[in-house]
Amino acid sequence: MTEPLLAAVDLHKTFGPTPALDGAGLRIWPGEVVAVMGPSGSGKSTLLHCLAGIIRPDSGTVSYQGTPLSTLSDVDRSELRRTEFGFVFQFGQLVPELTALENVALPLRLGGVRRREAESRAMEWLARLEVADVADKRPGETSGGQGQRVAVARALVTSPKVVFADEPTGALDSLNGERVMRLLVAAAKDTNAAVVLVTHEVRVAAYSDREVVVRDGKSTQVELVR
Amino acid sequence: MTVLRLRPRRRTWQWWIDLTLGVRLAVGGGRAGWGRLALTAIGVGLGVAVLLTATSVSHMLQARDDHGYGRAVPVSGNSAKVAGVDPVYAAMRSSEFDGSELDGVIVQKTGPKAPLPPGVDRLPNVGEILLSPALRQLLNSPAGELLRPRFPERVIGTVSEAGLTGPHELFFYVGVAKVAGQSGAAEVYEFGRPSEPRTLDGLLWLLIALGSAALLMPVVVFVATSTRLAAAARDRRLAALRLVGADGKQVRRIAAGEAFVGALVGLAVGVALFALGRAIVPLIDAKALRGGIFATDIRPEWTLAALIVVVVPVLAVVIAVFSLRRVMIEPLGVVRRARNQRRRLWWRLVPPVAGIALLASQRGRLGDALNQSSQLPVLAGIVLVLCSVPLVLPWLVERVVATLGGGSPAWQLAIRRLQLDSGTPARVVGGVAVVLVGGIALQTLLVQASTRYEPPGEKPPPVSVSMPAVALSQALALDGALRNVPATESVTPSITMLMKKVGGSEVTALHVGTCADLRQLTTIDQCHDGDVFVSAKPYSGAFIPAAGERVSFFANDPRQPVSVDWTMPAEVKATTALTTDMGLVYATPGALAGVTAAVADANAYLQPKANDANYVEYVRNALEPFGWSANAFSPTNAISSTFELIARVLLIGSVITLLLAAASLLVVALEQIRERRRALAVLAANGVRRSVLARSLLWQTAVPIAMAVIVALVVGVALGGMVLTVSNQPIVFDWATIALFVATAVIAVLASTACTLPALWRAANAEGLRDE
Repeated sequence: MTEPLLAAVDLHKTFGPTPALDGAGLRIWPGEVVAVMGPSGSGKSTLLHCLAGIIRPDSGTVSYQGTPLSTLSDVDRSELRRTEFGFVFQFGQLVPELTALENVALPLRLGGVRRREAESRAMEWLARLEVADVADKRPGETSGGQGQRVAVARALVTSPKVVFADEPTGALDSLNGERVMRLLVAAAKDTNAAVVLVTHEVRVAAYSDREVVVRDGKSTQVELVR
Repeated sequence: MTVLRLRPRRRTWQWWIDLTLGVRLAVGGGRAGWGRLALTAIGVGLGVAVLLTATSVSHMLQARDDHGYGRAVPVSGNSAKVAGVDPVYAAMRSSEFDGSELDGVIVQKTGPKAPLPPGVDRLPNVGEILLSPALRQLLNSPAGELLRPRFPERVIGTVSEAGLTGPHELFFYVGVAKVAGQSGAAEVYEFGRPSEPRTLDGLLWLLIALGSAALLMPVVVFVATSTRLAAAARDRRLAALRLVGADGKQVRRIAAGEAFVGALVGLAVGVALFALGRAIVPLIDAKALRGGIFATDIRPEWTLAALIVVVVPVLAVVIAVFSLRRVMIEPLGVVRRARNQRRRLWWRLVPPVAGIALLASQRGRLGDALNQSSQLPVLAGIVLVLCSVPLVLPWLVERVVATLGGGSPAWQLAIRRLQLDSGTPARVVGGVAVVLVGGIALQTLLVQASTRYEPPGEKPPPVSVSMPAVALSQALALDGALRNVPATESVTPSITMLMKKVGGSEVTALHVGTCADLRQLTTIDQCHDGDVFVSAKPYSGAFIPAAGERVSFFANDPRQPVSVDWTMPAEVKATTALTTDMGLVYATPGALAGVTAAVADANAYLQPKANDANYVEYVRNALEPFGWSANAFSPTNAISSTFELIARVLLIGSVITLLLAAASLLVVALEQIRERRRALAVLAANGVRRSVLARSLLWQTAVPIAMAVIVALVVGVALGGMVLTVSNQPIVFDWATIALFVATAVIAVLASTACTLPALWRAANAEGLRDE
């Protein structure tokens, strides 16, 4: 494949007087797992948010399948997040009012899929992520690890092409962290989804095919020998 | 460049799915979600209940008037003759017992086919009485011990609901030997007279308009605030939805669905509260309710009720969608709070400027006359000025807290919190501020109105007493009793007896009084008890009996004639009447010692020392030994009685609104604590003492309320001044009462905050650390 799935070029972003990105760039190919690493405050989360079209860079371009995200309307970017992207964050992304099953079915429901069909597909993903037993529980009633696996199921239920994971194991113990990463990467590989994994843990980064280090808002490709 | 082709959304179902998702979010969420929904429902419900009550006031007053008019004795003259009906002589009598009004009708039947007033199946004969259930209960209770001597008659029945203005009204029909000729008596063939609409002048209309707006605006603010409860949690929730692909329109639809459910449940709660209140109100026997209110009389105006049913959910949805405008829920709301935009002032100043301009354009147009073309602009002006408070306050709080800093940890926590989110606390106190503005403006107008309808500079109105056709000894006893009425400046008695030549028809009047009394009426110099005087300047044709002439005294009742002959004394002194140019005879009591028949008419005017609403009751109490033949009344006109009614309704409304505002504060403050449970728990876990958290909570309320008081004072005084200008009244402010209002509002806020402390103690424990 000659064209990357997702490409970011020369991204700049500041929050008030604080620069977050200073010429960062990155290219993602289908099916690959890329770890974005770096110290706290280096700009790695900002890079991920720019790649996902959640925030707009001050300058530079992010293109998905050749289309610059800046040309898309809010509706189209929402559609992109719902159909092409999946998200797993450290915490806070599940809707506390909805059960695990309803949370996973949510992107499908927002896309107009009827409840029965949406929940049937959601149930398959919960089973695949080994959390079918918490389907009727709300996020507050599950453990941290279970909650993250529910979040992974929700990220993958629409068969996205890219999954963005921002410190997905940051709030978990090592055992649960390993389990979440194993299931996430396996499921992504099965569906040929690319994974952009922001982490500062080497242990988590070890699940990636390649690493990009972000330091002071600039990104550097790291060649891996695995 | 490749054109990205996204998978099409199934749009047919999307609206429905989004709305139902909103509904699902509203009713989901376990205990926390239900708690949030319950608070919203209670908030909206209280507001709806008050609005429904407000729409019922008009019907309630009308029904009360109708009950009163339905049993009324014709005011002047007699009712039209009805064939086959034996008329009754009837007169209304009013008294008071233990602060409650005590009214009734004295009746004198002339035959078996007497007309019946509503709620009565037979009129009492002499010595019999019909009682309202409340009066009967009172007389049978220990509390009625002092009242029992005034009702020695035999109780023959009860006046039913149809004949009463309220369930607790103290009312009676008593059979009396002689009603004809008594003051207010009429020959009645049919009870009742057509309802008369209450008369309004410009000032009274203005009072009603300002009162309604000032009392209902805070309710609307309260409903609006309640629909925005837990806004932060909602924002996070909607941000999470944005993250998984909901677009802006979808988020608005979801938020609308969520708000709609809260408003709908609130509406149901409001209707239930209203129904509950309707069932409870007849049980309330507060003196302010003057005999209580029948449940059947509490009926909302259906068009307004329908409007409430439509407007409340619409308002909730509009506010929910409008509040998203600033928040613009972004996907990163989940993980990062977007920086708040600073509020802009210019559009917030549009309503007050427009309102003041509208009021200024109607300067002097609602004074004495009710100028109909001014009604709409004035009402709109008042509403716009009141609207300005909840609009300007968030801006002011934001600007002021931005400049604050330093201080104790409690102060610092409070100020930083306010700097992060000043909108919610400003909204919390906004309702109280609107109440305060309304209160200040209303009080300003009420003070001016009361000086107009009850001029303080003039003498208080005198009380008239009438006791016709009684024995002279009773008339003299009445005279003596009236001189002992407390708080009386002067008594002007008048005992008259009509006399005519025996066998003739010329009539003249004989005035009876002590020498001192007669000196007030004539030029008498030498006087002893037993003397008789004749006015020396009779107008032509008047009958003046000569010394030693036989005359007849008679009572002024053609149906029950009483007549007694009497001889003028041999010595009659000449005098000149000072108060009339009619030929009159004046006699001291000793001269009439032998006259015992009931032929004297006793009247008196009592001048109270000061304005005292209870004065007439003191007089009535003095009349107690004379039974139903004596009557006292205080002259009032229709306008001033309407003013009293309006002032009373506004007083009750103000109390309800203030309670509602305090309830609103409590609900919103509790929701704030619930929302910040985790943050509070973290602070407590880090060793911050609960007393520091409590003081911080207090500062978080105290700072916005200080701003609210400033805004309310400025707007309230401006609005009060404007309505005084519109009604052409001098601009005078009652600063003492305004200070009292401010103090009451501040105390209400602080008391509500104190009530949240138990919730704060619960929130600030380790359990609160548990989160998603």
